[in-house]
Amino acid sequence: MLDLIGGLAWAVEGNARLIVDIAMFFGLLVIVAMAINFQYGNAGIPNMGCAVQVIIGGFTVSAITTRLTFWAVAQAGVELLPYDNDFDWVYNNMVNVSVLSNGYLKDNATLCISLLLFSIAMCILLGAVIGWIIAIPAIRLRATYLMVTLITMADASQIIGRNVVGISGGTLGMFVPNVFAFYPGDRTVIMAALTLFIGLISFFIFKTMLNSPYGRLMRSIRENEVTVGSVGKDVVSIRRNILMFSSGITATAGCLLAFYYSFVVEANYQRAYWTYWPWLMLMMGGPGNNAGTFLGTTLVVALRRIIIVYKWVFDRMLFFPIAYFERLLLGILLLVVMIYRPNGIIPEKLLYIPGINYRQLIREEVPVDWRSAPKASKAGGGGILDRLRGKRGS
Amino acid sequence: MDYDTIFFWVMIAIWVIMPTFIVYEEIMERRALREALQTEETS
Amino acid sequence: MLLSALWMAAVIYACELTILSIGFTLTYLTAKIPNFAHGTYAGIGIFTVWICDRIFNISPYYGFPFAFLFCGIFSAAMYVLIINVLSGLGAGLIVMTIATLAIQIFLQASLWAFSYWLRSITGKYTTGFLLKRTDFVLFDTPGIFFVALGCSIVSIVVLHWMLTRTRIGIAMRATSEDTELSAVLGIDVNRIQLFAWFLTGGLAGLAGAMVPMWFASSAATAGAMQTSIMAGSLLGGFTNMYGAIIGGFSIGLLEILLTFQLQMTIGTWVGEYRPIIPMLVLVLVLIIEPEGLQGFYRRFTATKTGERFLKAIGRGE
Repeated sequence: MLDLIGGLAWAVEGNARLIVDIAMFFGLLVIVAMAINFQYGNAGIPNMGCAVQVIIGGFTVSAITTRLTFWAVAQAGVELLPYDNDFDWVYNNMVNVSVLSNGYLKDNATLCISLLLFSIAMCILLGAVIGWIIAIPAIRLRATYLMVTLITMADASQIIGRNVVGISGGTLGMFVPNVFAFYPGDRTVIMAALTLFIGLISFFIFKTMLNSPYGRLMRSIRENEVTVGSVGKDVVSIRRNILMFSSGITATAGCLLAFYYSFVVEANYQRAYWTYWPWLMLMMGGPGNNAGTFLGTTLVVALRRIIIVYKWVFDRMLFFPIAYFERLLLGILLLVVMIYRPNGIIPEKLLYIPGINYRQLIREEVPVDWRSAPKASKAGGGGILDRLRGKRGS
Repeated sequence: MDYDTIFFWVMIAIWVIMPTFIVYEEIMERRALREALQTEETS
Repeated sequence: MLLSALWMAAVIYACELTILSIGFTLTYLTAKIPNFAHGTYAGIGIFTVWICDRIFNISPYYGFPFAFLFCGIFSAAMYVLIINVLSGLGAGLIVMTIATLAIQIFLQASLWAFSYWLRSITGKYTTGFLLKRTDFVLFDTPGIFFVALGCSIVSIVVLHWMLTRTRIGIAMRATSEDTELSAVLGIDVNRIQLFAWFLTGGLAGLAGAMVPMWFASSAATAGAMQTSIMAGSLLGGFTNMYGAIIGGFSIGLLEILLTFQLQMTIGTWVGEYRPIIPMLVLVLVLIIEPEGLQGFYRRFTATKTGERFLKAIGRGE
């Protein structure tokens, strides 16, 4: 029965297993860190509540997808054990998921894929909803109030998740259906590949949003809110939109984590892991640009894996349990980075929007067509500027 | 077919593509920015 | 006993929160940042008292002044090493708040490491310990009740006297209002801020020292009070010390009494949601009136009834 849970989740062994694991967590943390970079590095919103957004992704999988699977499986005729009240929800969960649902899902590739896509879509939607909810009290206030509120909300979401059993199995946690049951090999490999792929897609999404007039608007809100408000932009609703958008993308990280473990418990989504470490990655690499975020994530993930792999060496050197060493290192690194490299390792640069020449804009009426402008991959801004000045067209 | 190995190398490929893309885009952007600033200065 | 155990627990907790909220507001006044590590400073006080009892075998009350001292020194050290350096580098408020968050992470981990090290050396429990049996009894009540009330009243009175009558207190108030103007007037801003951080750390240590006398504590207990501290401070208005007194005391009473009442009426499962009460207060205050009771008072005195009220108590014109 055990092999039905994971689809041979330990088929990959040895060094390859370590690499798959690192790749998976790297992918997840890079999604979260890029979303935080989008909010803080570009729009100036210090989002200390990413743990809430990630946990919503996990809860979507455990609460909604699981129930949907049970319904679909029951429609197909498989007898499920009862799961109406809290006790049965947790105690019958393992048999329901591992034996019955996964046994059915094994033969139904289309159902599996559609469940996966539905989960991701639902996560983005619910992530946006939670972004709207956490924006209600805090979006009008100064940054420090925002941080205070968001940190407390992260704690609140953990408490609620721990106590409302129907969401994610309370303190014990619950299994979720394995959406790759049809895959004959190790599902962790395909999950890691999927996570990295989604990381790549989200990188492109964030990059496109940044190098567009909307990105310029975000940067201007960060620099001077009052000016932006005085020219007629609704600053509060723009900030709320940014928060909702990033929440949606962050929630997919929680969803992917849930499918990776095939298990959801609220203790997997702790505040320190999903808020403070991504912030450290962001600050270390440099807020405001994606390359910095990526570099920071790489460094921090490498650091943590080194600590884990060389655990016994450290244990002999330190006089306290090694578990707290990581936390100590987190605090110290954050302080060191902020004192010695406040702009991160890769500092921020000016925003390049293709086709915008600010001087021409100020001096005269210039139609700006970013679509015909040379992209960053071509020679640069030389061509359009010449054309605008009426010189040789080229 | 050993799907595991295939997907493993797919994963490695994506893991390598991501930073390559990021670095490539950053370099292109910085170059384009520098050129735009230079042409602005000389204009 | 003078009061029921529930009311005594509520009052003691409220006194501790009052002292902590006053310290938090004081930090916000002088440094303009919320100090996320404030609750964790109290953890140093908890362990000072533990050491007094379990290692030296003397009454924990002798540890109170040492808790004040150690915590104050630690807070001053944090100011000198980190906060001052960052503000000298020109860091913004967000960066300094993240710095206090980093201090909290670091300090919490160190407290846990310290508690495990103590356990490995002395072989005594450092988690979930309670020092109630070492307390003295007065009028058939545990002495901590009077000590907590006494400490908070004394600290409030001393703070008020210091801030309004002594030169250093007035210098502190001046620095918090306008740093540059105070520097122009000849006040040594650095030393005043150092003293302010020492004071808030000391107050936090004092409050932390009181915690194990009634509540079971471990290395994490103090940090868990952070939300209540912030809620209490926000309720009274982030920048008003007298509001922090009211805010901290009310949050303390509310947390324990409301939880108990809800548990009686709805069911015992409500107890798990106790940390949500200060969070709800925080969110409600931010939605309704971001300046807390101070803003409410200001709006109230601007109305007709408010003016009549002021005249009645002799403050209006």
